[in-house]
Amino acid sequence: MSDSVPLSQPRRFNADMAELTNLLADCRAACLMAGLGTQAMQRAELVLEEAFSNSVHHGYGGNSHLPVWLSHRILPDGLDLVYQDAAPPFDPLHEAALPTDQRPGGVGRVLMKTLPGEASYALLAGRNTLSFRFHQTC
Amino acid sequence: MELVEHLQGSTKVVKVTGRIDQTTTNAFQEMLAPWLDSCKAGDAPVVLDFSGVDYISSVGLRVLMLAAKQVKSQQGRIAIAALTPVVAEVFQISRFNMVFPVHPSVDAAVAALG
Repeated sequence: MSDSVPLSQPRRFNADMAELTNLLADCRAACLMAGLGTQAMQRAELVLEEAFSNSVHHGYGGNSHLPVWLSHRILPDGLDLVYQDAAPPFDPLHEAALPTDQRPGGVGRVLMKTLPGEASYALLAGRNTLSFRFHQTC
Repeated sequence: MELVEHLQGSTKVVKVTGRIDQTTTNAFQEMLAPWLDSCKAGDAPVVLDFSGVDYISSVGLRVLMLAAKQVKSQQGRIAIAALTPVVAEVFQISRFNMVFPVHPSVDAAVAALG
């Protein structure tokens, strides 16, 4: 998921669920700049909430002052969101699947993989890096 | 987050308004509890009107999962109605409509439970 348009400077947030409101406010601002509609914006917020919750609860093992970063790229027809943490390497998109016994676990990873137009994972400079693309029309 | 009840026939229709996310899910769970506790065999069925909910994340689904289990164990009757587009998409992706009876409208839910 690369593009000639540069990414914005990453903004750092503490991996603390109390920071979710600030993270989602940044997400909404980027969505508005990219001209995303209400439903695409809601999808973007959902994906980021799931990624952030995953970092806090599973990556870092609870609320902390450890970092996560969010940057974005405005596209002619949408928005890229790039979300990173420095937790131990883990690809939440890999084999993301619903549990077979109707437990809620795993649903967040499936939403991360399914709701965006595109979703990918890479380990970049020691950071878990999730890239999500949202189209204006999705 | 707001939950308001009205009666439609003998069915309790609870209109839920707001976002159900990490910051509101505990409040939603606490506010929902009285209706779940009273949703037992022989008592009035409950319809959760979700037309005012435009956002639900996996923590909210977990609350609904627990609600479905509680009501089932009490042999009560409960359903969800009138999902907004993105919430409907979340339900579809998570196959949550296999856990919770979902209806396109409050009237349809009331008719199904009546």
